[in-house]
Amino acid sequence: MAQQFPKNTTTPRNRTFEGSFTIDAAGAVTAVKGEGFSAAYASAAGKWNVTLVDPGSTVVSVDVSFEHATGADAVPQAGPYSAKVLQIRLWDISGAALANVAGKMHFGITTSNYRT
Amino acid sequence: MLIDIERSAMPDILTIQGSFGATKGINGIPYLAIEDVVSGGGGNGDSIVESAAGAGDLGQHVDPGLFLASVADAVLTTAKLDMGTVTTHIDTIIEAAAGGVAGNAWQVILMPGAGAGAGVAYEDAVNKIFTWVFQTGVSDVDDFETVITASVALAVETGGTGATLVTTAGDALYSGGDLSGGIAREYVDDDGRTVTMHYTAASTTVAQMETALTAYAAAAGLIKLQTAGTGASVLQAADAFAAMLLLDGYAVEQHGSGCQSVMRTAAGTYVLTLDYPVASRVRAHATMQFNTAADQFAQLGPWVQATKKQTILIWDKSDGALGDFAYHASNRVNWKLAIKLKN
Repeated sequence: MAQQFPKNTTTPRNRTFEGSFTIDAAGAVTAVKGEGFSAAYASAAGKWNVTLVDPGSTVVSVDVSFEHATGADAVPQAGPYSAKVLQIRLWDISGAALANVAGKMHFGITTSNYRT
Repeated sequence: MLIDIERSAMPDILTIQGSFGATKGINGIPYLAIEDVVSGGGGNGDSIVESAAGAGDLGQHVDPGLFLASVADAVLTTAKLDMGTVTTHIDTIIEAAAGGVAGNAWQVILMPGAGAGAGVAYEDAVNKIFTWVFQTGVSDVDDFETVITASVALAVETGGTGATLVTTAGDALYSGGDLSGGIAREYVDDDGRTVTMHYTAASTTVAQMETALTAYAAAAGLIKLQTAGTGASVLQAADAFAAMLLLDGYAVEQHGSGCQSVMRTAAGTYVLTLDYPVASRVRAHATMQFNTAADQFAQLGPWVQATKKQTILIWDKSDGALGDFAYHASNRVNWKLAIKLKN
């Protein structure tokens, strides 16, 4: 049985999807943590697609972080969200371009059923 | 304990979050804010000292660390005057009767006077002038030392050649007879890891102590001045303290819950230790917050499940390497972890 936690949020109609996935030097996704989504390499350097299962109608906010063993000159970016798919990108600062860097991508997507 | 909870699509996930920023220690350099040490009583020393070695392993979490102690003792240096440097025949070294800087204000005047015989002395405690009227070819060094010994403010430190006669031509002294070298404060390395600052209660000022610290640091001392305090403040007896460990100059001020500690382990490297029974980490997030925009960003480092430690890295784009963020009350690392308490 799922563990019960007290609900203590000012935004009861929000849902947060969060997880992480490991990427190798070629961009392939090798391990996923979290539920309610799937992650896959978008077959283009520095791009991955996160597909949500049963999200709300509106994306409220997105946050992305990149994990690297020793530190790297790369920053993650949130790309467009469309049809339940959020694209996550990795920008190589030195190369001034999207790139595949081995590491782990972390993300959080908050959606809402509140229609604006 | 207040816990920040977000409604998650995965109800067995707990999200914990917080932020941390550097305190007075800058860029990982071990430091000690003296006013934080002394409470009640004196509390007039508000300088901040830091390790002269810079960022590194001399702080709180390294055995034996780097210590600073403060003692209001009588380890003073007295002001002196070698009369042989200002006269021809008087080779006595005189000193202030009391140690410390007060003696530096005294000056000696030697004035010839007909019929003075062994000489007559005048001691002006207000203006701190000691005058000896001598008779040329009659008064001698012994006579000079007798009046010095009889004085209140001065004393003979090293006796000279007593029978030498004093003459007008070689020994009249109207200026330049100033005592000097009195020190009421100093820093001493006790054992290679402990520095003790010695001062005179109700006499030494914060400014004097900081001047002494600058001189000590210039002579390859273990610590140096980071931030000056209130210079005019006079240190009191209550400002003494036993050896205090310099604190690691890393992020010690943290907000949020679920995090047992934050430690800076290397340049641009901060390790969070969680205090939850974590079964697994789902994901993490870190964002750097700046008062003034900077060319640095937060990046996640490794997560170690066994020790529940999450590393956060600060990457400096300009340097192309990890680097510490500058101290400012608004410069903070914001972090968030989604964890599972059971798999």
